[in-house]
Amino acid sequence: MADRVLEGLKVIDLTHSIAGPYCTKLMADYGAEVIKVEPPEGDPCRLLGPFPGDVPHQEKGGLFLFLNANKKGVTLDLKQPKGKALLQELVKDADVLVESFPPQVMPELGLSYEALAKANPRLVMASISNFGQTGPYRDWKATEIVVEAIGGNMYISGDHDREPLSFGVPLFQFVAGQNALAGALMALFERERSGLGQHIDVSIAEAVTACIPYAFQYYTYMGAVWRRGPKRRILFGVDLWPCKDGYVGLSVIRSTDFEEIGAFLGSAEMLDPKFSTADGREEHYEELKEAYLAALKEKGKDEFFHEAHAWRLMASREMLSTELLQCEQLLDRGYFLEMAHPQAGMLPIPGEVMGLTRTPASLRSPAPLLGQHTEEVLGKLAR
Amino acid sequence: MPDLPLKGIRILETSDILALPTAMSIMADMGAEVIHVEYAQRPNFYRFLGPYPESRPGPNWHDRSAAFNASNRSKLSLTLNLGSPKGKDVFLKLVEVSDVVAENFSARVMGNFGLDYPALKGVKSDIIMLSNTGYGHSGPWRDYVGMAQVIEAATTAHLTGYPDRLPGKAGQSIMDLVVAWNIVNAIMLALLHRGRTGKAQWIDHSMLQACVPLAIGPLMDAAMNPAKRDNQMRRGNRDAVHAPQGCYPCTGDDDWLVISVTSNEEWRKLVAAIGNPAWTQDARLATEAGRMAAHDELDRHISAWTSGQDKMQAMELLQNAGVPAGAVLKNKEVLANPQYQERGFWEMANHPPETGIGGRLYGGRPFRMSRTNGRIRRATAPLAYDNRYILEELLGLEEDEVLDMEDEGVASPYLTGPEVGDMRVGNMPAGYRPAAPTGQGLVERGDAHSYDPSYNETLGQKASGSATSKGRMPVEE
Repeated sequence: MADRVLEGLKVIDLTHSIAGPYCTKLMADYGAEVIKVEPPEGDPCRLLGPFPGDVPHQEKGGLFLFLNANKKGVTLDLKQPKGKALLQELVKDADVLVESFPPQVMPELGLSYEALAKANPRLVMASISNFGQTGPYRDWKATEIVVEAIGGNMYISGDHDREPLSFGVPLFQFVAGQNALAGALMALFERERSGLGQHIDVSIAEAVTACIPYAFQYYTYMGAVWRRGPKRRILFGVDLWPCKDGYVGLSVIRSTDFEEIGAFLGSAEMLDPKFSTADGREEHYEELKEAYLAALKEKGKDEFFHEAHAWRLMASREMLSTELLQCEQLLDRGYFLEMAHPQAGMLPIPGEVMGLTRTPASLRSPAPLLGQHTEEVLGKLAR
Repeated sequence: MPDLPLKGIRILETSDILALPTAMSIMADMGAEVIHVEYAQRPNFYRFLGPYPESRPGPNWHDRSAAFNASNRSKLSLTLNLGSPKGKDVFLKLVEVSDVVAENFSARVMGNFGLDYPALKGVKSDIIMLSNTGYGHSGPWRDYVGMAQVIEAATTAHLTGYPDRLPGKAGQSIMDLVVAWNIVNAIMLALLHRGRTGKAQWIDHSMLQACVPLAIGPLMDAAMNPAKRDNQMRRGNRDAVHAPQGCYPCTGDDDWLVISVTSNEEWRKLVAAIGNPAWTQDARLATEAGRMAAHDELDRHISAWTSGQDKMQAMELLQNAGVPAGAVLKNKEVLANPQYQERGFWEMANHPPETGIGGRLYGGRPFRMSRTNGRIRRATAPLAYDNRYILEELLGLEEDEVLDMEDEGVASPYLTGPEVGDMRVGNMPAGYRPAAPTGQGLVERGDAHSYDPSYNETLGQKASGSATSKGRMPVEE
């Protein structure tokens, strides 16, 4: 059996929704014992779906099942003195605590890092919040789209003639989870030397801002307020265009790429010398677009993708989720693990996200039912 | 003060574009000694992107590109031709004294150099190696090239965009940053494992595998409900369940406000905050389902209200009322924002005087550590800036040997000023100068909203050429 990197690490998980659970999920996948503490009514993520047949059920939410596999689940009411005392007991010999409450909650419960570290100086605690544990926006409310707006991503996203656009998935919640994991792993690494834990303060808004460094350098280097756009959608860059059965894209990176694109698509029109330079392509944009889209209509996205790579071109193809589940590359690399859940049945979930070859992720248990391990974990403390 | 967490870890990086360089900058900020190895004739592509200080590339433009400088700080720079026997030899000597090698060539390249994982292990048994590719080193797509945009297309593009338009992208190369953080975590796990067991490993990092979890909601829906198709829709700025949510116009020029109501209670707070107008009293709007059904109508009413509002004041009004709301901030507004200022997110880095870049602000990391917080330890090093230190002091090579390597193009030296013109950086013709649009030019082209000529004063930056450090730029402890 392969080694598990975090075997023996005890993690108390007070998080909900996506960011915190993604952080602790990765810890659990690589061997940590993660004890997920839910309020009696459960993590609200249980009701976010998707559900089989679209019927809401707190044990069958797809997002929850992915984010909480390999964890143990206990329910605890931290507002009750008894619940709080049990948590303090749990934290005494824990290595890591991750929480994602609004910043004032843990101190108000008497569970600030300072208070917990008194009993356990080796504790590494990570707090994930919308804007961070300090600053004038500390107590503000936010969802994904709100942090994307304030963090600077929306202004540079979307079409030139339309309102700013947010991502279609809660991407920065996942990034904040990655950030919390990075801080916690670095703290654990440092603890080997110092014997001391510390507090990690993650801001989801800063996670947004740190993801778009280039946008800010337009101002710091030349005073330009970079905007969403450009005016004309880019033909051979990051944008996707319709083909026979979906959307695809090609990028011009080398100076010879454009000729090869014309040859690959078999388009005589595109090989017209007036398109041979970047300036010419800009000047005759509409004509070129028409020729390009006509050529793309002849290709299905699958054949397009493989043929373009045979020409050594940079090719993109849209993949729907149904297609990702069948992706030959992911299947060949054993990416999806089969989770057998007592109520939701068999589900494929992403496994090896890190690429570790000696200590790969493993799926040892499905996401816990609400309160499934309360007796097992808390029973011995109560005695 | 305690040492930074990664102090004592040495990383050899040979990389291109954005993802791996960013990951290595983060680790360098956190205390690792990162040696960034580039081939002088084909250095990192981001050296060609700009923008340039005050829109002036200058003769040493390859050291002045903001895109490169934003994602390579805190490192040492070494030039080395890995395709030459001597270059390979020096690289292996560096491996002997390093903890991690991180590379992002196509799958076959390191093997062709004779520098794949077995070869590295041969000189240092506990070396950790990370290889980052689009799809991984095995499988039918192992030789396919993947960059951020390609991975975004394969995972989330069909879910992003206006419902009535083509699939979209948000931001710039964001998947590179998702990948960068994943790489940091993969290496941290390998370092922890090595510390505990003495065993090292190869990390076969696939950008696709790192990014698939971002689309987990629709992915699980596809697994649970294979016949369904409406889980693959672009919803623009709307939420799947809660309403109203959207991006609404305000009084300023291209100013917008995001409002995101997630409960009936927040809806009632919104209604009160905007003064209980008659249209809000419709009984249908009391429930999520009712508001979702009336979303178009709601958007028109909310837009009518926001159109008379300043985005910052409206944001504060709604936040103080307990409604999730955010002004859509422009780059300069995030730089000046009190939340970012108070938390010290933006950090000043002083470049060596000969680069003429001066002191510039760069984003820090999105987390603070209470005892061992990281920082930008040094501005991005110019190409080959640390060759002498690495070759002579670290590896103990004789100066004559280093001079030979410079002459033979194995380790091209650090050059500034007019000399650089002869270097033919990136196989460009002699005298090549990159395009460098002005701020006003970007506005005319439509790529920028506006141009602010007093940006250096506004940000408290020392304009190009005025930084006054003497001698070799240090890497702060």
